[in-house]
Amino acid sequence: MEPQLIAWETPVFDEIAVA
Amino acid sequence: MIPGSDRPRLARHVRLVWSPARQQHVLQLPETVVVLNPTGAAVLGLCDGRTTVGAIVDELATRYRDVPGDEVRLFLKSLVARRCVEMADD
Repeated sequence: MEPQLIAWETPVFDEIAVA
Repeated sequence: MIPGSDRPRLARHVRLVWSPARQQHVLQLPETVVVLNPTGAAVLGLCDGRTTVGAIVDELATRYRDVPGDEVRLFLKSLVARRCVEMADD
């Protein structure tokens, strides 16, 4: 049986500064 | 654009960890937290300094439908620019 593939989402990141 | 033969790895001062508070993977740096979406975390989880960008895209294609290599390369390029990711020397 074919493995279930996950829908692709564009990889993104969000940068958060830490004091 | 990053060549498919490059071998990315996390920079020395960067750690990829699961954040229980956010329920997301994040990169920890000395004065920054970089919050990742699931595919971003999947890409970085394969950046071990030995696997080429091309092989990373191939591996992702075994888990995800229709993986655009350009998106993976652009994502890595952005993180190289922020010094979170570096390319392993030969």
